[in-house]
Amino acid sequence: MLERVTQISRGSPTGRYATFESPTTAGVRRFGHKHTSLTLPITLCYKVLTMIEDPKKPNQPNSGDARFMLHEIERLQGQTRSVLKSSWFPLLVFGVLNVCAAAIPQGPALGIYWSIAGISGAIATSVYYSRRERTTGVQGPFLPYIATSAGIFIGCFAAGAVGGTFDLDRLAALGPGAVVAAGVVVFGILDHNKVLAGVGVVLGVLVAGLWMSSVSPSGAAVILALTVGTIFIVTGLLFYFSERAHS
Amino acid sequence: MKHPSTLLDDTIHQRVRLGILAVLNESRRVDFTYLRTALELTDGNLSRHLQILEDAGFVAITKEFANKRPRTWIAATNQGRSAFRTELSALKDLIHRVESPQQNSGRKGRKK
Repeated sequence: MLERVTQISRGSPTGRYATFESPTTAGVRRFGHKHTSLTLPITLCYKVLTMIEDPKKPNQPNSGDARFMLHEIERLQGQTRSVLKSSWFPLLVFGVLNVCAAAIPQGPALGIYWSIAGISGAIATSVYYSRRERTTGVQGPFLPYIATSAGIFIGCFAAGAVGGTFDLDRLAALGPGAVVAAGVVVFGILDHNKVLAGVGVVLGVLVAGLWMSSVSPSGAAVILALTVGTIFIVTGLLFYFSERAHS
Repeated sequence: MKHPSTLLDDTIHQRVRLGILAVLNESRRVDFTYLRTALELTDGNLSRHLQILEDAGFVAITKEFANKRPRTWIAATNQGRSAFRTELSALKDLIHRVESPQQNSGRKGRKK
């Protein structure tokens, strides 16, 4: 009974502004019978507990008030984050670009392909986000995303260039994949998106597995491009349908 | 140590104004319509609260034209973000202070 009384006094969303209904009053209202032998002790317990829970300090918010406000803040922040969080478009674009990259042999041709395709993909993504921001009326912080994207591009080209210059075939073939995996994890953290961060971790494990396997570097690069592309496309479609279902 | 309620700012410690800053803290800037819908307010009510926050230097309001239609964007200033963080930690501290002794006594009671 005491726990029940505590739950009632703590469960109030509005804290000091709430009008608490004692269990005895509630019982009388619901079941119609008046005083029982338990009425007096229960009422006393209730009064003591509500006094502990809500010390009457004028103009000072109590824990119920604070808890309600925190709950509201979390709800609004979550709502705003869900409006901002929309990763399906870049995932689909870069998924398709990765699948296409599997058809291009390792070497300068792949570097040229990614310098054109990567920049085009980045422009398409920025156009998508700017249109989305205008539609939803919420503009997210863009600097961390631009910095991460720039880091991925620079890291991928550096890994490819260093690997090609020093004949480190595995670095040239799988280094960019490792950079992309790390970048996806960062995007997942920025978006508070566990699924996206999980995709990044899976890609990292895949790169590590291919690095340690006996598959030739060129074969590993093709497998990686196809797998990354497929994972991006599938995740992008999942996000797209999930977003549509929520909206 | 000061009681956490002394850290609460009267300008922010109001349900709607705290909600406005909660939304703005998650974003770079938001438009008036989004805020009105998210907080379920009327135009006049939201304007009044925004005016109070702007006067206190917690938000910056800019008006732009998009396709010949006016659009009002609201962004939290550094001062506003900092005040929001202080308010949030004060609220958490307050809850912790009030609930901790009772939880401990509750556990002891159950053991008996």
